Amino acid sequence: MRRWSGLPVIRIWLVVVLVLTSMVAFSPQGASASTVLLRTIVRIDNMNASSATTGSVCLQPANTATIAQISVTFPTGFTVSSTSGNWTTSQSVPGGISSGQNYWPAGFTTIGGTLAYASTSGQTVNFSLTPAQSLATANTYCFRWTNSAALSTSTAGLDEEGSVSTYTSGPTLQDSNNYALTVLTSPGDLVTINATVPPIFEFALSRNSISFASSLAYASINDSGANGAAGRVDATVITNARGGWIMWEEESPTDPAIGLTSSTTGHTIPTVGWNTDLPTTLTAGTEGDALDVAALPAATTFCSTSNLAVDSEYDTAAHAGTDGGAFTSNYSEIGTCSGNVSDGDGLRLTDHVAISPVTPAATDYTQTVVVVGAGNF
Amino acid sequence: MVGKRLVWRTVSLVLMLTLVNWPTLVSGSIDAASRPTAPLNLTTSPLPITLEAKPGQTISTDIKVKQSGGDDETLMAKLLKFGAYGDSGKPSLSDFGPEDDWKNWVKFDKPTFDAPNNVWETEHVTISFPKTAAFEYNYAVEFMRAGDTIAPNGGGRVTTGLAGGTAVLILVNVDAPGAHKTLSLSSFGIEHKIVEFLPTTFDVNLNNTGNVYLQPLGSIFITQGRNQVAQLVFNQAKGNILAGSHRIYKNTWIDGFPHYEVKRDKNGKTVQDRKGTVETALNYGLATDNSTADPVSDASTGNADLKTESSNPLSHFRFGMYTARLVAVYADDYGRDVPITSQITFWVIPWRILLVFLAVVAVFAFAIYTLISSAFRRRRRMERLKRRMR
Repeated sequence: MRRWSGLPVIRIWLVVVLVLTSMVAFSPQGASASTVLLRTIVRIDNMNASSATTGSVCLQPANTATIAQISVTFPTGFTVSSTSGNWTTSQSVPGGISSGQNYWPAGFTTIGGTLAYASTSGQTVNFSLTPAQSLATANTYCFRWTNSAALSTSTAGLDEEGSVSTYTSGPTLQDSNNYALTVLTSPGDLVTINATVPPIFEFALSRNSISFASSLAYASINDSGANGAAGRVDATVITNARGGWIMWEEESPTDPAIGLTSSTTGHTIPTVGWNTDLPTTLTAGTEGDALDVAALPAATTFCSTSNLAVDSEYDTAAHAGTDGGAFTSNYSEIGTCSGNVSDGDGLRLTDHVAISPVTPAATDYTQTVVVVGAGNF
Repeated sequence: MVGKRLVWRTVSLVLMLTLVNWPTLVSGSIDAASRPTAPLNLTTSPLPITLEAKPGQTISTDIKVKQSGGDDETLMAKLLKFGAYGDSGKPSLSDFGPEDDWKNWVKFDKPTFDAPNNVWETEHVTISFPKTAAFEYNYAVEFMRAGDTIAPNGGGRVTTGLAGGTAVLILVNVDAPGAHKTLSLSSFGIEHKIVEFLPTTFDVNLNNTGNVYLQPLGSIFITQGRNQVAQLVFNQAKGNILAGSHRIYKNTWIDGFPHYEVKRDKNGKTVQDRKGTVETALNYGLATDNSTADPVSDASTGNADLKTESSNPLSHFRFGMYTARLVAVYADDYGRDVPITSQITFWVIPWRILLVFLAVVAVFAFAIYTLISSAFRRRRRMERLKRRMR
């Protein structure tokens, strides 16, 4: 058994220091120190980077006290005006749809008195409250600064920290708490109406018609694609708008019927029916007229892989053995590019037709299809 | 009698001529023979057009149109309406119904106009809203060649004529009493919770429960621990959400070392496999603004405002748990930003690099173990020899 007196003095002192240090961690943070505000909200009306903004401050006191000054410290990087006239304040609830719902917290209370700009010190703006007002712990008090010349946001960043403090006369710090703001990057303005590069949408068809290589046979399915370039139409898009595009087809309203019609015989080889997200398979010997659509990515494609998609009603490549989808009397989507610019990406259209042995003979079976392209919204 | 006969003959002649030329008359004086022969090439600008108006107000906008088919042509403008289709900002085009009186509020200054080859023409569109107008109206102005829908002359062959057009979308919010702007977040997700290498794609599903269209903007901040490592611009394409619809926005974070990127040949063309799918490959360079792995979204290196990361590739090596925090905003009636926030966590685990690293460490450790154990063995042998010598 060793005696205390036997221990070196330096060891005793080391133990004492350790014990005292540990006790400090568990002790209250000084009875005379300020308390933390129960609620602190600072909202800027324009969250874009480097933008002038108005905004609101809301606070809920931790202790009821008579407050003579409210100070708001804005995050580093914000430009805080020191011009008195720029810090005009209002205690009126802001107008508009979001008032009292999304903008100021429900149940807010007017501070009362006159809240006026007093001074700026670095990032901190001090507002004096005359006469001093008793702010109760049960309430949330809000005010706004209404001139955007007062404050400019920093560069973009997450959780930009600032603080709000209340003071009794003296001034003596009463309550304080931190808040965080997020500043956003503005979307690139490369494509706007007033920019030097306007958004454009160029739509081109490689030909004005699709024709079959020879007379239609009833013993097989007739594919216009067998006629080479004359048997297909490439509908392509060039656009610098990043939202993508869409194409529709519609049988011309001036056509007498939907399908291939002969004006001399008055007979129509009818379109196949709507098959709901699945192309139709034609049967040799049974009349039918189907539109086949294939994806046509450009050599340098920005709209590819899963982005360039043929509508499943017309997508024969994805459904082996099928021939195509319906020609319709209203605008039906045939394909889309769901994002990014395009430099010639598009769709290839061919016609698949089946006839019966009793289909009236004629040399003037025709139809007209309107293909429309548009940029997404 | 002679006078009566003359009148009858004249009337009959006029009737005959009218009947013979009826198809031409109803189709705007263009017959099948005069159907344009040059391939269609139409360019329009801008797209889409977003406008704000008050009830009773008349507003206008200009649409520029150019045809480059090779010949001088006649173009026509046709008014349609559209709604939202799907969840990626695709419009659904349709003709006006008999109850859609808002069709009558729109006037074109040139419903049909001559369009010389390769010359921009301007269509002035005026919309006069009545005092009862509210809240969102979506118009589409379709430009096409006049006479293009006449059936083609197949020259004795079965022929399908193709007529084409472009539609310019015009979105108008009419700020009438009762206009309600509310956007809610349906979900904020990620394509894969664990990836080996970037890119990874975030899905932001927003629901417009108000009665006017809205355009959300914002950022996705990516942090690791307390450090912010990237910032992606949300909705860089400035896409809108129509009233009562939802839309999924995709954002890709590609800025990793290494990262998957679209494969290109010597000429910069994308490489495709037999099925026409664009191939991707692991890239050991740093991602640039032009980098893309799958342009399914706003591919973004996202470092436009990042100050902490250097150009040292190792600082772009991604490993561990990351947090993506979405901060999207939309403007209320007074131009104030209303924020929408959410966050998710995901992992980047480059397991193949880790395996190689572990293998190297294991080989190194084994080598050291072998060296040390052989040294000990040698020492023990020496001690045994020494003992025997004694």
